Amino acid sequence: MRSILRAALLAAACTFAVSAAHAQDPVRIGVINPTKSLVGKQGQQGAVVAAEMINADGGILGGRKIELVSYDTNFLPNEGVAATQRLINQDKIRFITGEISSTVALAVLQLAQANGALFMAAVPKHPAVTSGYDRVFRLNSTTAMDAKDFDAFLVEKIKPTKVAVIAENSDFGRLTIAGLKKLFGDKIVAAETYEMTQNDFNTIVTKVKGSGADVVCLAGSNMEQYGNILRVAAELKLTAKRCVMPGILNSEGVRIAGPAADGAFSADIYVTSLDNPLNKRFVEAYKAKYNELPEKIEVLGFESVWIVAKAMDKAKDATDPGKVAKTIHDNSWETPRGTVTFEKNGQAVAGPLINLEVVQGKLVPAKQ
Amino acid sequence: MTSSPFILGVGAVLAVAIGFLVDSPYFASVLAYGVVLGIFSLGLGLTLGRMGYVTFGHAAFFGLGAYAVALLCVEFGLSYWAVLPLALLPGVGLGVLVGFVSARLGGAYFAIATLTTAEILRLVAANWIDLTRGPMGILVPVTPLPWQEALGWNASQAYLSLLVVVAAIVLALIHNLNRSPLGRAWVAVREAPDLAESLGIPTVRARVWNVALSGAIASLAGALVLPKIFVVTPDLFGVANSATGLLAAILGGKATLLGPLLGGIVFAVLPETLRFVDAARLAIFAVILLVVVRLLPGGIVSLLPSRLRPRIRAPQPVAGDAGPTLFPAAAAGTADELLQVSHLRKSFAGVTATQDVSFTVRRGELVGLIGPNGAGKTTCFSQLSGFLAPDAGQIAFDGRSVIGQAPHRIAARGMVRTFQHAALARNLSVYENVLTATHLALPETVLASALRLPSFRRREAERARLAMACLAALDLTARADEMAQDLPYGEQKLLAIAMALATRPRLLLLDEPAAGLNQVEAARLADVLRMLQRAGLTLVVVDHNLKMMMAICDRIVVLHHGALIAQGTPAEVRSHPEVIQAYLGGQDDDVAEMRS
Amino acid sequence: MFDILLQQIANGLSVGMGYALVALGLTLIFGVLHVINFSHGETFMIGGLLTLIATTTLGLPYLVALPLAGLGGAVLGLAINWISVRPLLPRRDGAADVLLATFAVSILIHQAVIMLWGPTPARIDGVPGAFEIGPVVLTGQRLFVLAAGLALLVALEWMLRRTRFGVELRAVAQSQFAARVVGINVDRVNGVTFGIAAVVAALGGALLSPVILYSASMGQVVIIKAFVVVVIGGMGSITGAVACGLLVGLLEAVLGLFAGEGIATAIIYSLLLAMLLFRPQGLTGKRAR
Repeated sequence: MRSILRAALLAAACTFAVSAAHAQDPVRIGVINPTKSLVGKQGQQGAVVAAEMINADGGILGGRKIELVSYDTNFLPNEGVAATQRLINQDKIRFITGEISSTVALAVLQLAQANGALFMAAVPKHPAVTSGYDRVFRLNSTTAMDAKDFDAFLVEKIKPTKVAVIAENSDFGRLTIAGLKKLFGDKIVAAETYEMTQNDFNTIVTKVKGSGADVVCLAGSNMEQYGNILRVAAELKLTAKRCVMPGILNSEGVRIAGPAADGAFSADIYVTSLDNPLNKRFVEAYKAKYNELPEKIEVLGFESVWIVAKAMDKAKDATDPGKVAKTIHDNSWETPRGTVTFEKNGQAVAGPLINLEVVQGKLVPAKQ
Repeated sequence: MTSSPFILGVGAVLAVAIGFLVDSPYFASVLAYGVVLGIFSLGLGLTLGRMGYVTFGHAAFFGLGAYAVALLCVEFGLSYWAVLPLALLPGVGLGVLVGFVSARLGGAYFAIATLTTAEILRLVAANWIDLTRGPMGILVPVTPLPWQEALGWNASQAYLSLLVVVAAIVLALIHNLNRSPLGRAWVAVREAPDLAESLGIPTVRARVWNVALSGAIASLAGALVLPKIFVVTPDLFGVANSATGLLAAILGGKATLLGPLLGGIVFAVLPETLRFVDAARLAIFAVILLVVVRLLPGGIVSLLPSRLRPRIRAPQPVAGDAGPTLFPAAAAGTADELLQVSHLRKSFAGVTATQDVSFTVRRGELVGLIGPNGAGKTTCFSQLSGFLAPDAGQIAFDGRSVIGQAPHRIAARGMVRTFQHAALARNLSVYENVLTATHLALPETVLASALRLPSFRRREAERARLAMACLAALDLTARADEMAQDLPYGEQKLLAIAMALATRPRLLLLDEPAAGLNQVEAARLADVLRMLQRAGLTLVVVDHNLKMMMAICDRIVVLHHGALIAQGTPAEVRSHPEVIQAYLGGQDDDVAEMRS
Repeated sequence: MFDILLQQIANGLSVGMGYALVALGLTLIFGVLHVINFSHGETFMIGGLLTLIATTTLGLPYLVALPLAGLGGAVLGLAINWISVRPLLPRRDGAADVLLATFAVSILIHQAVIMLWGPTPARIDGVPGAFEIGPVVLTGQRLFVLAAGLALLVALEWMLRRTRFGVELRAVAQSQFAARVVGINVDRVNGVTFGIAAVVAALGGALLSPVILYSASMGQVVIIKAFVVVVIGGMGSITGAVACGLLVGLLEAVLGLFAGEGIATAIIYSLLLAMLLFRPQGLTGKRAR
């Protein structure tokens, strides 16, 4: 009798031990970012905070911790493909999150699709990222989405007579120029592009100054570049109102521009001071770890891991990308931005654009 | 020594075995990138190693091939695999241009020019948005290979397998060309370009062929990388690619066959296996390059045992084989006067090196050209052989002018010169040197060389026999397999003459063949010259060894301060008052020699 | 339009002065040591980096950071000479080996800086203020670049013509062999020349960074532009380097008015190719071997 009891206890203990051991297996999520650059680091850090917050809450799927497997993609499609292959074939992970560059994202998307992996793109803005695959998602807004809100703002509140555009030589820059030309027609008196590697903006600013525009719109994803453009504009005594297109302006760019940024206005999908409990918690956790306040890039990096993990938990599955993808599509998700849902093509939809302005060196929501 | 069928065979076996050896698509993909880089480095190595030209911008070809194929696929909706072979064309086109440039620029200038070309292409690709979509790049859809399904392979395996086949073909091609007149011409261009010209090797054409082939291979590599990267972006033209290819070629040993391929594979695979290496990849490569350049000019492959590095051995002389005729019939041609020089003039920045010099050389004569140092003898030779253009005057060889012709054309017409300092290819054997010199007499087509056709093999055997015959004529057969630089000085001079003989000349211009020779060596030289004259050659010899000159020459021409002061038989010249006057400023032995 | 052109000319001259300083060092090294130093652009970049570190991390004023940058440049130049030039010069293939070695060094420095300080461009605050001269606005920094550049050139010229070292340098440039025969320590002259060239390049970087933004890749860009200057001006000609440096800066600025920066740069590079093909000895006729 006692031996049977002992055996039963032993069996129960073993089962419990085995399942507990299993329960300790971490859930691995892949993260890709150009970590050598500042934006890449920001996205990466947001992802890390997401994993830490989830683990502090006890993990998912009955206590399993999130473990991030990260690779550097360095803005090169080649590297992105290599990283994705490593994740899928070596690390056996089919959940890929993060990334900043559209070019890399498009290449990764191909590979992900060929392997049935789930890809939650954080920052890439190119329209083709969300096309034709049911397991790809994109958290950032597209230029078209931004234009819907911002165009009205420009036309009704700013009311420019002559508009100049300074845009980077990329899809984003060119799309912006095309959009503004459509909106303002022949009110556009100058449309200049600059290289992603360009450092010297005196020529461009000189030309814009000579065009007599009263509003100049900047469209550049690199804060060093647009920050410096603002500086040069101040040096050359350009008096036009300075508009930074939605989604680009952050406090680093403001810092680089120095006093020249005061008075500039913009808009974005997120601002650090958003008043909701999750955001407050996120901001605190980020500040505690990195001694900086998080902004748009960081929150998108955060969301890309947060939503995937929460979806895994809800779907009760951390291995089937199809199941998790369906769960993401079918539900709404609480993030520091508020409530996020996904359209059929994977595009994330949250609240309206928030208008911003620079006041005494700080980026704050605009007064209405 | 490996033969090209062997290389192809190994390649075919490897390609088939890939499906069974490499299972993980990840590893297959990593290896594939290594092979692509290896092919790129092979192309680069062709220019860097064989021809000795440093190129910092070879990525220009790489990117060009990728963009050409990408544009064709996307604009015309063609299948990637069908368009792939066309990638060779832009590489050849740009290669021809750069090849011509290499004839005008050397060393650092050439390197800078290639880098600038790559940068220009990069800027064009980044800015011609309508065509290339700029920095966003062109996304190229790659369908699976037709035979993939049949063999049950995944995409990465099929891709790697194809790459191994291509690599084997490129290796075999380069191997064949290296062992052909064209390949030897490249080495001659690298080691002694002036000598090559004087032996009738058209150096410009050789350079153009080299860079065109190198560019075609690099271009193909660029197109072959598409299935790995999916998106074609302007940084394919970037310095990182050029530098990696350069490092791979040098590290692998720039003058060897397999070296660049191995280097490329190592440079692609290593960063993948050592992740911490990946972050510092280029930096580490740069350190390795620095170390290699400082310590190992031959590259890693130079560390391999020498039996892996082939050396062409001289063929055994076949008993009873008299060999080919060395000298064209003395009666070839009609005119009695073979060389006519009239009123030749040349000055350099105020110094008149040649003043109104006129003389003729009759068929079969041995004419000597003497004079104190600075008399302008070598300058005269340089004008005769096409290395310098005279300011005024006429030079007629066999009735037709040679002024304005490149040295290799003049050599082709039958007038060949040697140089004051024996300009040999020091790192080749004696036999290899003479074999190189057979380029003019027994030419070869590039196609036959590349494919090593039976007709090529036949002609190569003839070239071998001609080379051995030339060595035999100068009694150098025993030295055939020694390195040219290991020969005693006197025999190096004789080797230079043997090489000139291999061109089947009608008139030899020998520039100071006796310089630096001791009495014994000079006597042997004199015998050789007499023998050549007896065989029907016409000779013009410049030298300071007056004893020898007086003994062997039929006629002597004397130059002083660029002007011709006397000509006639040795006896006449020896007692000519102006000649004695000219030499009086020199040593008494000269005068004594003349009188003896 | 004319106003814009004038502004661009002013902009171009100040950037061109930076090019002139870099090209000057390159041509000096070629004239004396007869080799191409491919890492020269990285010395320019290091000058900017040292200025950045001095002004931000160490909090020193810009004018104090400048000589520190120059000193750092000298140390770097001497190190490069010691590692990758001096031991390779005597070899048979010496010039080619130096080309390759300095190429490797340039990659090494570039990558090391990216790894340690990141690829992000950074602003440096230079001389403050801006002056309006008619329609043209010249910032204090740009004026300073022109003035300091001129001062450096004058100092260099004085060194070449009036000091004993200048005589030795010119002797070695004419003939190493003859210089050795008369007892000049050629190795020392080579080393000091390298150091001087490096100081000038580093100062160029320190001067130009507040104008065009410091970035770890600024050396890679400037080396090709320096080659353009040196080839057009004539390899080994100091006047050529200075005149053509200013010219290239001007051309770039004016071309930038009509085409984008990328196209303007491509046009200038094409000029280099054309020069190499048709007149490799440059406008001043000094031929390189």
